[in-house]
Amino acid sequence: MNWIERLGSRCIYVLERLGNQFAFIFRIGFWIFKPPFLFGEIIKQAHFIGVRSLAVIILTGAFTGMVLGMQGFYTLSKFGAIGFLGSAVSLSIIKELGPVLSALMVTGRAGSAIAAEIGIMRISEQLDALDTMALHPIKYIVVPKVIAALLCIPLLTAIFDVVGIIGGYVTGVELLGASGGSFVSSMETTVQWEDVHEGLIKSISFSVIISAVCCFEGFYTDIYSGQGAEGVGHATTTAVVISSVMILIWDYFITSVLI
Amino acid sequence: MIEILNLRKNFLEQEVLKGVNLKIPDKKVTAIVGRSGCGKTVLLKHIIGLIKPESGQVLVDGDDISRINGSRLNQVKNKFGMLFQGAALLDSMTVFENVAFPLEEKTKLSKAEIKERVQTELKNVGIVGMDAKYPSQLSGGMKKRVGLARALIMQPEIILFDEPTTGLDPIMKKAIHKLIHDTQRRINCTAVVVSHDIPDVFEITDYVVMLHNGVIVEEGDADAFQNSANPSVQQFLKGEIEGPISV
Amino acid sequence: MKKLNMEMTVGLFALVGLICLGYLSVKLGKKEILGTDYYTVYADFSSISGLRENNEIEIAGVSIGNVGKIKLADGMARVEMKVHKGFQLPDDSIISVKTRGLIGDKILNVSLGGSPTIVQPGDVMIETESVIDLENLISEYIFGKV
Repeated sequence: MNWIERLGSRCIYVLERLGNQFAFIFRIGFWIFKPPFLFGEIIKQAHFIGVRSLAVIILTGAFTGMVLGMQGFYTLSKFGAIGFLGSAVSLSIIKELGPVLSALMVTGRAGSAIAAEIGIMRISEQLDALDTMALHPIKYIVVPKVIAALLCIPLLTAIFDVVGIIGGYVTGVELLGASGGSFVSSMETTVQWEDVHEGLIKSISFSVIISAVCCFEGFYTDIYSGQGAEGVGHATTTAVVISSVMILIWDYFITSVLI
Repeated sequence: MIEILNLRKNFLEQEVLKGVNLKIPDKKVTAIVGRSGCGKTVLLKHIIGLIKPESGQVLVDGDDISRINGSRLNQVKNKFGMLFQGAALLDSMTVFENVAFPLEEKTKLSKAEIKERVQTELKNVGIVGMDAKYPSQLSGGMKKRVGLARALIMQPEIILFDEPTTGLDPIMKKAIHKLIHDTQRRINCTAVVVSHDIPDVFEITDYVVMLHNGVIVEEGDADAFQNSANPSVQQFLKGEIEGPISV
Repeated sequence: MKKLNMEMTVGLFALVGLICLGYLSVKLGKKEILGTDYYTVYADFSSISGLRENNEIEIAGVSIGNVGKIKLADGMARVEMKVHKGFQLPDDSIISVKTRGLIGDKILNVSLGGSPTIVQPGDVMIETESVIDLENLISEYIFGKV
């Protein structure tokens, strides 16, 4: 094969995979509204995606806010504008860092586990077994995870935001000595509903990306990632890499639309 | 009645099934034998519609399983029970929950009735007092038994077995064979067994089909099959290296 | 017990998440969920350059509301003023655009008038002072017009 053919076959492969990814999303969209709704399973997944991610979200949120408070303090003090520390910290967290960093942390913690779990179910024929029992694997395995992700990731982002703002307050006001009153009042006057709304839209769209990509990679382990345990490992890595890159790219596009 | 007509399937460039024609007799045990990787499992998965063929048909009581969908397909699937090679029990559920799962999702039986039926079915396959165990705590033979209980719980007309004895010790092999035989006699269903467990599998089968190079090379009653004049069959039965089948 | 624990933790998690989301949207985002607690009046200015939506409206440095939508009406800037219901403005009050600090935000300052008539929601305030144009002021001083 010469290089033009290789390029061509690569393009076909990428397009086909992309097409399957979107077809997968449409199938999820179809099954998500079909009863029965598996509340027990959704709670279980919410526990896994939401509750078990809480520690890592609080930790990253606190440190992100603290470092922003510190950087902001020294940068703003050059302009004599320490009064704006509150708005600088809260706006950067609510609009940008909160949604993006929470999404990346959830991808690393829960997304990889989702891909691995579904991948193992694929290679051990558990998904086929459900299919033969006329129980659709997307309905029973994928949809509860997607619903749980859609509910949990925005909440995790909100928690990240609040913890981050508290972190910024702690370093900026308590450690470095900016005025607490002006921190809070500048934050309250600058942050608008549009900013909170932007963060919310971002985190919802990120949760769609994470759940769709990670479930897809697990679901089609045998087709796209190879056989056996190695295939599952490969699917997990691919899921994390594609979700993370997609989150950052999508973040740029959605910011340019919403700003 | 399962009828397979000119079934073809490729994986990437490789032709796995090259026009399989087969009628599987009702209420009998049919074995599909052949070398590893000759496409036996692929054929089995076509029968239950897990894999879609390139061309050809699989008719289950007249319905082409690769061309129907929705509730019609579910009706046809409900006629089947399948025991997978690794049993394919759901890891996150206990033995009881695994067997009860189809009943809970597809019937409106009460909790007590479900419990009753699950326990009867588990007893039939020889599993007692293991309800709360998880699949990871069971041995290979135990998993197969639980998998069979799950396949039987919806009272299917056809049961498919994908290499039911692979990876088991000789005693467990015999036990599983006996279980397949007894189950088939008890509920009077059609059974299809994919196996390369020669000659043990002949003890339980009424009809044998040999798949080689993507086509059926020989089929017949168990005795007739063993006495077949086809050199490929004889080489396969005796496990010889020399012969028409190249290693 | 194990199952109860899981549902309990998920419930707590949802509660904490919703409180955080509520804080962000209601307190910081000023999303009104229980109707409006302000009334709207309008004021026309010849120039409001630098005034933005949501800037504060003050009387003697005390915040009484926020600036709403800003649009153009007959060549003048018509500013929507959202004033909290507790505050009443006489109709001869003077509204002026002021700057807080040297690079700070623009605000609307209200000097209360003495008229017995109170402004009703939807009225247009007439007495306004526009932005003090610093550049203009300096150039006028230099060229001796002041």
